[in-house]
Amino acid sequence: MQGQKIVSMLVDDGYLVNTVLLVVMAFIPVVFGMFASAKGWISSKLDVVWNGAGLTPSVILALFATAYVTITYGASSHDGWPAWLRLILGAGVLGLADGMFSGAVIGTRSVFAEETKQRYVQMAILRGEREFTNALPNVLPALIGQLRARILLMLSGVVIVEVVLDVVGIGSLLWSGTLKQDFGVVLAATFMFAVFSSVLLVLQALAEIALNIFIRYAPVEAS
Amino acid sequence: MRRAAWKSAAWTAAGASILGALVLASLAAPEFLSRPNLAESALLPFTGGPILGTDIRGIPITEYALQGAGVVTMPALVSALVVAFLAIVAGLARCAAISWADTAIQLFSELVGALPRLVVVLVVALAMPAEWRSLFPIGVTWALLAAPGAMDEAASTAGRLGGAKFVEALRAHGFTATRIYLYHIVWLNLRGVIVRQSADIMMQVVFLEIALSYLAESQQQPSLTHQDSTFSWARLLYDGYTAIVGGLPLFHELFVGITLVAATAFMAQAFRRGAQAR
Repeated sequence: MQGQKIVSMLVDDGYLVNTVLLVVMAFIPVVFGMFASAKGWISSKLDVVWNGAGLTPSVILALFATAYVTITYGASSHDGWPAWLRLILGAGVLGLADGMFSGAVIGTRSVFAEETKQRYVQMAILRGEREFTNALPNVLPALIGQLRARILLMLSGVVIVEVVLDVVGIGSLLWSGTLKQDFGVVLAATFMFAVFSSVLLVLQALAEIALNIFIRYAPVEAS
Repeated sequence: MRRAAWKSAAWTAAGASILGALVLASLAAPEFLSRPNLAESALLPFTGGPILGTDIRGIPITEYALQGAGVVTMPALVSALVVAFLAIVAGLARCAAISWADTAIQLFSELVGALPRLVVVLVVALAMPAEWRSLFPIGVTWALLAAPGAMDEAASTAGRLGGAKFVEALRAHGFTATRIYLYHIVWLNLRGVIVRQSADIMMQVVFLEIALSYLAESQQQPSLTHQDSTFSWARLLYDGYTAIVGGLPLFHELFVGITLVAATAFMAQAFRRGAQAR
């Protein structure tokens, strides 16, 4: 990649898009896990299963995923459906491995379990209101914080998933830059990760501000 | 002994046994692999050859397993000790009512928690001269990046005890400072958090090494975590991958690789279960 402009690689060659797609798709099972856990759809008896699955390192799951794609479509299948399949499987690996899904399910349940012990939630239940809608605004800051930490963990996993599944992205760019001791490439890739992290911080702050405004104006006095 | 205490002791013993086996394996690791012996190519385990079989070049898989243990064990232990030390410091600081410590821990957490850990690790690996290539600096960096979580948990556990009031109450009973801080606080109350967090870090460092070596192996590049003459457990996984894709008779290597990964995960879980909070 000598002499190539890194910006054009990131934007025109799809490095940025692929990484964002991977993270966004991996985000779906995590958010679903959090929501289902908060609503009580996932039994705590299944925690053993999630914990077991969550212990699997991403490299092992990615190894099986890439073996499947390579056997089915060939090692050099990087266009069309196989390329999408690599992204989908990569997102699945990111969403499941390293305790991502299990952490989302168990973490959300424990936050809700603590909150529902509060007196105001029990009073709301006596009034015939829902536990979930009453507790949600108060646990959201904690859940948003957890979510940011999980996305950061995902960004770590992105490097492994992209390289093993042969997906061009910022993670694979960072890896190849490190192996070749190419400081320019590593700086650019690290800068992109720093931008992601900053965007996440800003989003967290905005979400918390919006939530505080909602809580400030939400109570409606009975007429 | 109560049933819960027996269970806890059994889990701890299981974890300690695996850790002991890892340490012994790392000490028994050969410096160089045996010469290739094509007459014994891809032997299955327990079929008369080396106990775990051989790879495609006829090299015993046991040697890869031992060398892999040699690569990961000491750096993983040192990383776990770094986290344990920092967690103890955070817990004691809360009990000693050092007010600025909480702010410092918060600042440290925000700072190191803002970047993906693997990105920082790769930058450290890049900055390292090739002749210093080892898992030690990478593992310790990972431990420092993971430490804020452990420090925060240890500090809150100490806070739940009552912090400075707890120390004051024990002083009133006539206990010495050493006994209060090291026995009552660290051993009796922070032990669970410290063991759990350290075991987690140990597992993470082992998995990190496997991941980094696998990535290098898959691109036929030198590893960032060990010298070229040494092989990590990632080699077994990579050979397993070529078995799946290329149809080579090396599934036993994949099996051994995954078993070693599972044993490491089980070790961390066993320590975790053994150190349940009081």
